[in-house]
Amino acid sequence: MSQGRGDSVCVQLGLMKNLKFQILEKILSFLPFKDLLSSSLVNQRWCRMSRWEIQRSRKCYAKIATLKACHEMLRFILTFKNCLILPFSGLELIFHSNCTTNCLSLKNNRLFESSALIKTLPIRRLKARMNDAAPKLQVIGGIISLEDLPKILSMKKGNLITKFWLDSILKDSNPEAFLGFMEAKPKLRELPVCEQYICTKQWLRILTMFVESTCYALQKLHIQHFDVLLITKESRLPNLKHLVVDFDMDSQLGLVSIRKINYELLFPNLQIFTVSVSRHKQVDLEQELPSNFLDQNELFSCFTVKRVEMSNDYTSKRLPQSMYESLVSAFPNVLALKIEYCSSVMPYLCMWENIESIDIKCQCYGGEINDALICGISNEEIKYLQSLEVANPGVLQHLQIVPTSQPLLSMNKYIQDDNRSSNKMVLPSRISSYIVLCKWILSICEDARLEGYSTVELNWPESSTAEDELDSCCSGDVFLDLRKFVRFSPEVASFL
Amino acid sequence: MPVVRLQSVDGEVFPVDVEIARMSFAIRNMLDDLGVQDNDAEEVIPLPNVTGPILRKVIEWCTHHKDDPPPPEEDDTREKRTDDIPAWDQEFLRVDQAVLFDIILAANYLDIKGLLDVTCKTVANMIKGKTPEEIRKLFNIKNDFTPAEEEQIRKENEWCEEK
Repeated sequence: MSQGRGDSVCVQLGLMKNLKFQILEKILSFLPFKDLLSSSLVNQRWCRMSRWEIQRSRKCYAKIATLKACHEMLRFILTFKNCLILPFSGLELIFHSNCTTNCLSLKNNRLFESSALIKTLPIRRLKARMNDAAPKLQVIGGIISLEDLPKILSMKKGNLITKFWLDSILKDSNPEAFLGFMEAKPKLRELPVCEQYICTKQWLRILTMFVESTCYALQKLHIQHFDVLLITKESRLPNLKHLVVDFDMDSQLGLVSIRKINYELLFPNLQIFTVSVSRHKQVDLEQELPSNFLDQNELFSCFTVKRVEMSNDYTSKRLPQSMYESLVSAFPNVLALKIEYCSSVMPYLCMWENIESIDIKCQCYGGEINDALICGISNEEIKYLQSLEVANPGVLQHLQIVPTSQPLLSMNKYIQDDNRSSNKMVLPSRISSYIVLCKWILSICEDARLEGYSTVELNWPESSTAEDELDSCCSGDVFLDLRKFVRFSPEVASFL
Repeated sequence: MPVVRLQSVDGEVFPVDVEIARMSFAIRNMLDDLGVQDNDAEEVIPLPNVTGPILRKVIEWCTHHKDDPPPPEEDDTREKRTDDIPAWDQEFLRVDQAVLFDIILAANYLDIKGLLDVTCKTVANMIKGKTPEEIRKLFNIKNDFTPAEEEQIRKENEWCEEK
């Protein structure tokens, strides 16, 4: 489009002003959402038209997702109470579990009044995931805490709750609300049971009954180590896909206990097993287990679980490898492994031979793996590493090799820094599908994606002179284990 | 080939193949309503909202696109693209803004969907990525918001996210 004479004509005539409603509407219909927001600031006419277009044809939500949900809700209402045409077609409410805590100053349950106000706004879609819900909502999703339960039950909405967060100790209250909830025939998809709750033994029986009342719907259960052992003596959860167990690794039973569960009978469709290591001691409940529990010879395996997740295991450095082998025996068909915030990743990486995907998440400071170079090595990559060492002596001093077996398809490593401002992620290199990660690379790349490195960019050296350095750092048990899993290039094999 | 004569507001008469003229739904309806036969070559259809130069452009576009398949039905749920303007149309619409807007008005009046689409897409492309102030400047639009109103709209927009 020329910017010369024609524009000046346009300027003189104010052509846009003469455009009919339908034509401007059509032009706006071709604009992406972001440009519609800009258009709405042009003038009053464009504002109306842009917002009509958003309302008419775009799926766009205003989102209230914050820990200070009450304040946000009020801010939202203040912003829009006089607004004639909303710049969105729906409202998404995501209130986190501790929302209630933040609402205390507002006399709790204030959200109910606020949500009634929200209903006066002309919103077409409401995606509500919230602790508290407007009385006329059709589906209540998200996390409902015990404190809010009576209000929801009084509205006869108990059967609409899909996630219930059992996190309040009922020391001072009675279980009536909870029992009323059972009578409402909940169809919970997710039930997290917090550890402090379970410490009160007398609730175990009630919990068992409760799990039974919703057993067909339940897809994810987050529960304590001993509770799962105790309640699963009776409950069968045919549709459970994800079991999260808070584990006391130092207990007498340790990980061996997971082989005491008859998965085929109790969780026939389990797909994901997560171990979240807890430091909470459960001595009392350990004593509740049948005295012959450990002695029974029968051990079970679960062949349906394809993914195991480990988190917060700070014992992995000191506990014997044999302890972790129970995991392999319990879940022999695992293809995906996720390790989050564990003091050492090594106990887990050597276990399953057919792993296709590994995710590692760790904090930036502390922990050996942050200083480590983790790699599965191709011919090209070993040359590259040698060149790195030549150019930067000492860079490979923290070399570790993670045994990545042949079928490994993906490996992600997330490093979270202290202020949580950025995540660095390293993906497998294209050259070998193996992993190369080192401190040096991370120090130069904000987002180190080794995929981007090609042989041309790396400028491989003709000769390698770093054999000694590399050899010196490739020592110890790690390499011995590696022999079982990694296909070695001749260069690497010659170092071993 | 039967011909129909289109007369612009400034009196210019354009003989046009009937098939090409019928690409305009407005002309098609007029021909049908008047019961004009294909051999009524003397029939003149006045188009009081279109000037001669613009009508010439419109006829040029229709002639080039006479063999195009009919445009698909509108589908609001599908994302509308603006990067699919054919090269010939891009060149054809490389005109002053005043002419472009006149073509839009003519395409709208004559109800030629293909031409209206492609011209509106061209304008949409001019708007894309621009700030409100740049859009105002581009089209000489007066800002009739008070500073407080503009701030309020800005605040409201902050809440939105596309899904």
